[in-house]
Amino acid sequence: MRLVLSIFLFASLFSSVASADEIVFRGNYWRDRNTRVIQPEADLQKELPTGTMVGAHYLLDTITSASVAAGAVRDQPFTELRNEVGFRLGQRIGPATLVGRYSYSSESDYWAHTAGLSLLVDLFHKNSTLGLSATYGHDDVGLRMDAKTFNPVGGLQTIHFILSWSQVLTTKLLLNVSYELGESGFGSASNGYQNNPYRTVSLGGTPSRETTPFERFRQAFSAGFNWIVPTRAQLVPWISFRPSYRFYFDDWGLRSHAAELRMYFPVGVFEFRLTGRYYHQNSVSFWNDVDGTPSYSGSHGKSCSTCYFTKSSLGFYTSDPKLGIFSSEFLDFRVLIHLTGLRRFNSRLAHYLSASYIELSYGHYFNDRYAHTAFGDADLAGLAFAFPL
Amino acid sequence: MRRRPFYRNILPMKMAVLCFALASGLSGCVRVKPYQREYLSQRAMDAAAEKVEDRFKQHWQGSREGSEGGFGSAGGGCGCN
Repeated sequence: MRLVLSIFLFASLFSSVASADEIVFRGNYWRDRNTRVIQPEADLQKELPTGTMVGAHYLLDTITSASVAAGAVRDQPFTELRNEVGFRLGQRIGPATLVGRYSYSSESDYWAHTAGLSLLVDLFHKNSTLGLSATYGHDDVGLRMDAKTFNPVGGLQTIHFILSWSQVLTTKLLLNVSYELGESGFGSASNGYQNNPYRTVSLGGTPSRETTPFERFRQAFSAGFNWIVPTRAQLVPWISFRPSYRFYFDDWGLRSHAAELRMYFPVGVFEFRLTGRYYHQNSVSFWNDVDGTPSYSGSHGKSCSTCYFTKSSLGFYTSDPKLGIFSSEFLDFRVLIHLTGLRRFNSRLAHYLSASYIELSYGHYFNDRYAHTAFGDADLAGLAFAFPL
Repeated sequence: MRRRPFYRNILPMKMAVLCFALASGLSGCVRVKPYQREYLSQRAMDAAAEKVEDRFKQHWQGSREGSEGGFGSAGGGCGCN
């Protein structure tokens, strides 16, 4: 099962309003010890003179893995495909913008529908922007038996609400804050299945399929600044900094802190970006390990002492590395190349392409503790071409 | 172990209320006019400019980390008038 591959479809709910009319072709690459992901995708967006905004995206995940956590039941690596398609439609109405979205993701053992509605309101002469968003997700989970058959094992329904505020503080400084509230699952396997049906954990010495609560109540708060500093130098006319912080909290007992800094600086037709991110989380309340490896001594796991709604006398047990305590760091370098130099060529194609750009990026992800044992570090790369519409 | 009541576990909510109050309170003090938005309209100041890349970033972060969310941003500073 790849629960993790479908929980992001609700993200970027407000992102389409301010960005340019363009079509982006992007290739993403991920490689760690067990898993390689190659993900081509296309995303287009266009705002019509009537204030109507249309957008769509398509991506294909090509996942080659030998990881049990990723669904492998044998040592032999296998490749799985995930298709995702999404549409968005928005309309400006005075100072407000209403955007509706839908996306569908399909793989051999996981199918996810996500629909969302967001409202942005410009206030105080566009010095403030209030954002409200609601998203509903409906997933079906299967246990793949072989290439042709699978058994349905459950479903997952999610609801997310986001409240955000963006505030212009000065001519060079912006403040963004957001608060998110989410509920994953509503108390049964048919609407709250959040296990990996392939993953096992040692329960009293016997490998058993992991069992987690059917409800999870999530909260996240984030704040960040966008700050640009003019340098008065011709070569590098400005430098921009984007520090941000996120605090996450859920009723499984997991708390996390994520701090990130992005720094941008242009040099001619190039724009360079450096990113550094630090992340730390504790473990969920029913996590147990012995010498760093998930293992439960009894035959009934541990109760979820922090859960608001879930009451189970049987307890829960998991070996999911991302539910244990660990820290991670991420470093990334990106260069964006504006193709403005093509203007010198006297052709319509060259003039059109002169408004395009190319992006190249490389990053490295570090982690520690059991997450490192299970996943290891990862290398990431990206290549994108963007053309105006 | 005794369960903590639901309303006792709302620290992020309290932080959000505090920051929203602070940010909205600032709105009355700040008046940046459209012709003063030269720097705010730079691509590097637009959170939405990297949405395609960020979608993949949120994807892999969620597959390796236990938390999610916190990416909702109104994307102000677009320089649009």
